[in-house]
Amino acid sequence: MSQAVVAVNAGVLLPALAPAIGAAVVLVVDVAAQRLRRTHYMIALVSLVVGAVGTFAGLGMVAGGVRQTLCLPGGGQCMYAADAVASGLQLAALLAAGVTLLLSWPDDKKQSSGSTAVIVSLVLTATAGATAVAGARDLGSWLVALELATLPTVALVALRGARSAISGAIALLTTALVSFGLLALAAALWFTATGSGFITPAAALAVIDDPSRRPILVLAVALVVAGIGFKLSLVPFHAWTPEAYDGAPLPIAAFLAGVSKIAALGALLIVIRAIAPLGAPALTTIAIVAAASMTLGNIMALRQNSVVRLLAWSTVAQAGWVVMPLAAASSAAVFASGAYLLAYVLATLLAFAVVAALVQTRGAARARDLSGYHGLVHDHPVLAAALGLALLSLAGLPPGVLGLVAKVTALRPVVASELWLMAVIAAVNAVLGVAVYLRWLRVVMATAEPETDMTAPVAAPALSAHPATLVAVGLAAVALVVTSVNPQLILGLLGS
Amino acid sequence: MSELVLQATRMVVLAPFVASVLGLFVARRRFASAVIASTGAVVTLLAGSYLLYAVHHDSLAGEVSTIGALPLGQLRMPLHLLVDELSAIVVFAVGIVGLAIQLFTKWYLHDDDRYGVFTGTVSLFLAGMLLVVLSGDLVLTLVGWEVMGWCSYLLIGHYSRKDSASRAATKAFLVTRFADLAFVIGLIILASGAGTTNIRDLMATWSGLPGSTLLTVALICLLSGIAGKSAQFPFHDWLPDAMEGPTPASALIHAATMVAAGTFVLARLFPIFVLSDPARLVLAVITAVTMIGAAILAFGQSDLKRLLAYSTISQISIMLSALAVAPVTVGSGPAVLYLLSHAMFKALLFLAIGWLSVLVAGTSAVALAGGVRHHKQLRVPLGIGFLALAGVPPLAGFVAKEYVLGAAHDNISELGSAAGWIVMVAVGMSVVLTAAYCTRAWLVLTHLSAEEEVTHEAAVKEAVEVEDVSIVAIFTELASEGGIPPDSAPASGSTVTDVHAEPEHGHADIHRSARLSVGVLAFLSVVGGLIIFTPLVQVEPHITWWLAASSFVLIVASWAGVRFLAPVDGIGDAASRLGADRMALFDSGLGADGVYVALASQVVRLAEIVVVADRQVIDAYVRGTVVVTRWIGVTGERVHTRKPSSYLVWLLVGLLAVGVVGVTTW
Repeated sequence: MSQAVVAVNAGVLLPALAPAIGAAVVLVVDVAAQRLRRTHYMIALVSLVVGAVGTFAGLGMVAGGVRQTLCLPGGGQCMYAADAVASGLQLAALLAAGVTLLLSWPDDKKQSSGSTAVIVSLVLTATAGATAVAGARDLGSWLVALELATLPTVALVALRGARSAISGAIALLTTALVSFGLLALAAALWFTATGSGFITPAAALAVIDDPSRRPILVLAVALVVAGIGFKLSLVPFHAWTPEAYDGAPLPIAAFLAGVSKIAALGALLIVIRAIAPLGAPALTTIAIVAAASMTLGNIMALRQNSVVRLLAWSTVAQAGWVVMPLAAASSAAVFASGAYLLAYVLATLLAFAVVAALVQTRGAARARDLSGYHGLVHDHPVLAAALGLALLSLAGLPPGVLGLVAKVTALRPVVASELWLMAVIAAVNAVLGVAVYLRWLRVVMATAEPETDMTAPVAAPALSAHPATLVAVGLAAVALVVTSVNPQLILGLLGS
Repeated sequence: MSELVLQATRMVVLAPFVASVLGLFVARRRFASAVIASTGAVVTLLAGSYLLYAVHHDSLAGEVSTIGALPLGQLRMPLHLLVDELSAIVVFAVGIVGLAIQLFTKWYLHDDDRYGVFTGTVSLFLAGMLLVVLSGDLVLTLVGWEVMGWCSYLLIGHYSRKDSASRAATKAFLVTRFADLAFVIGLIILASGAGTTNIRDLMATWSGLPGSTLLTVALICLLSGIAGKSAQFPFHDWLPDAMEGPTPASALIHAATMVAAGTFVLARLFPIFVLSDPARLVLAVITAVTMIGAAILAFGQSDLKRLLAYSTISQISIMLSALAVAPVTVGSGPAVLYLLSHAMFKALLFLAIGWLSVLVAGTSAVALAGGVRHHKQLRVPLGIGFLALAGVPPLAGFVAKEYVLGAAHDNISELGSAAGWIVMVAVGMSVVLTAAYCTRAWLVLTHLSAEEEVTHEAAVKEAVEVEDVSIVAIFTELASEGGIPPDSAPASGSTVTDVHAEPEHGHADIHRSARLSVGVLAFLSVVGGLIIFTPLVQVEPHITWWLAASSFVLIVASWAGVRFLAPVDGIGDAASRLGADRMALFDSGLGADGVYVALASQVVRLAEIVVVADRQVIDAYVRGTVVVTRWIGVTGERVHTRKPSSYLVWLLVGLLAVGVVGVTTW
């Protein structure tokens, strides 16, 4: 009687398998028939949709509900387990990747650079890593999946070839390597402390009785925070962020702000969930980096005149909000953190999509500069409304109700754990954040044209945005409106 | 209660309200505004008449639901209207006065570009008053009370292009609002103590607690608001300034509505008000001071419209004093009787003075001097008004005043409280003073200087026929639908009326409807006293003869004294004996305005200190955050050098920090 080493349930793995297979298919098709462009994108979108459908079964499961596979024989531990939060993150990653592809949809008028298949497959690969890491429960696949989500992005940033892209890619690469080293070290320490290759509560509980192994586990967690802090752009591991965002093509910046963040949080949540039963009063490290991130991110965002850099720094600040609830180290914190991330990704993607649409209609120079947004509400009222909604959601002001609900959700575990200093810092940063986003919105809403518009005739004639870009704007805007009207939708996805 | 009564009750309040809302839409169109406002007033009067009939003929009285109860947990708030004998008769009076004023206004403001707005506001004002009158719920009372307060602001400030008018409006608003603070607190105490805002229910609850300190506190709080709205000391000074409003607005505010609202609310709450002797004593003192002070000030006013304003203050005091002294057996009847008769003769006086002021272009004593000699059609209405105001038998004012005196007399004989004596003495003095200022005003109005006398006599002799312009004449003119406007009938230049009536005022001839309004009010002022023989007012038809006789003697003596004092030269103004300096002091209301300003300026100064503290201290922190944020930002930009090596330094620092903190704080 032969028995498989592990039991594989392909249906459960579908969110991770679909984009990976899609990436392979794209490469094969490219070999078979060159010069195809839109076909690659179609294949990619189909694989993402298939993956997204695969997450549906896991959405909204009640607490404790989990879909697992790759289990060791004899009812042993499973290497892949997706609960409601993981499924929600996977869905978000797949959709965010879809939006990224829509934003980078090939333009018929331009010559192909020949790298379409590479770009598409890299996006799919990174997405596969992001979805896989959310379910990974053993050190090996956790580490591999996380790096799978990271390394393609270096290539994606560099592929543009411009000088700024190269410097951004180098910044990304150096920090990526160091962080990989940290995470590898963390994995080794985890194994040393627990004697287990699984990142599960059961493994962590083994440490409780042995005080001598405890510091090792704590150091492992600290290193995880540092390593993932890089991917989440947490201060002080954030410095690559503005360079990479500014250097990368706009859709790739959106990818970094969306899918990469989801991958990183997915990885972090697995560790946090594993150590939650240890009963740590509070994860001070996370509180410190969260406070530093939101404060520095907001203050620096206030001083940016390039909208991409502003969004980059806003990412830093929002990452602080994302991890803040985890300082409380409770199951509610995991949920709150996931909910905040989804709200942030939705709003940020919409903002990037609007910027991308404006790059196509008004030229990159004008669309990337804050002053270029003067009086946008008169020139492009619909785009301005979408941008306004995105910014208000990020700021947490109605009518961006989703952002407000997310901020409240994120603060609740912090308050419940009586981390008052953290709560106060968060409150101050909520105000700072309002200033950051309203500064942009004020320019958008300005009525009179500035005097610099004397040069307007020189500007490129009005072009129309690519339909795919507009579809991306529309999808993100509708999703944001719907979830703002009924925020329970997002909370329900994660199985509140 | 029958469905018809329910609908009529709601209609009374809704009709003027709907008229005001509709009036807003057609405010620019004079005719449509007039039609809507008049229709609203007519519907109100008809519905009010039916209510009066239903209440007395079919003995239908009770509560009427409105918008349904508010779900407020432990506090019951049914928001019912209350129809009974008290509210029915007052609704009727308000309806009459409201209609008369709407008709008069159409003529008075015929060339005012904001007539539509004014008449709409009058409608809303009436809706507010009628809501107060019909209210069976403290919340509805408060709503109507506030609506009136706001409308009075708009009406007084109608000529807002004039600084004095807008100051008077603001002053009225601020003073009454200030007084209302305590009023609201009083209502809250009453409602929360009883757990309901329904007036009958809460009175039943509080009646079980006679002598309760909380009840006394609540009632004294109510008195503050009532003193504000009814212009009693020390909140009285807004009312004379309110004369800046158009005369119909003054008539409205003074006669049946705003100032009387306080009396009505207190009459409504009389069953519990009577339980608190301290509150009654407070009211007796307030009214006594106001009654005498305002009557003295009225005598010295150089402006006859302001004289009427002070007389209103004094008369409202008499009304309220009846409530301060009436024993339980007497009830609120005397006060309500006074309210009704005052509504008629004061509306009459204001409309007639307004009419005259249009003809002579002014309201000062100098401008009005000899007015009724030149414009004889006003002789009778004004004469009736002043006679009723002075309380000369058998006019309505006389009957009502006898009942107030009777109430004080009953108080002294039955209860022997101090309040009874205070009111008795004060009303007695006010009888003399009222007669004095009425005589003075009348003498001024009828005065002709020596040479005017000569030309006047000659004109009378030349006249082919002297038209007897009396009430009867007013009615007969109306009855004879000859198609000839009343004032154009004697246009042949053959009557006394015409001697001085060249249309220098540039105002259209008075409308028939306005003339009718004045006529009806004059008629009611004469025969209104007969109401005591009907069941419409809850009083026993009796007169304390020695009181009546002695007050009549006092009136005659006062008349003779003023007549003796009045100089034959000038404008025949008895008040000129006071001297110009003292008259200026009287005109300024003995400097009450200065006291208000001094008090308010202290508040403003405190506010300024707060503003300075806010800007310099509190805001400094806010501005400080800007400075700090900017500084961190600049530093941050300097630190982020965009070199890969610096990223690694950051990373290293972060790693160390995270590791050390993580291990040490676990």
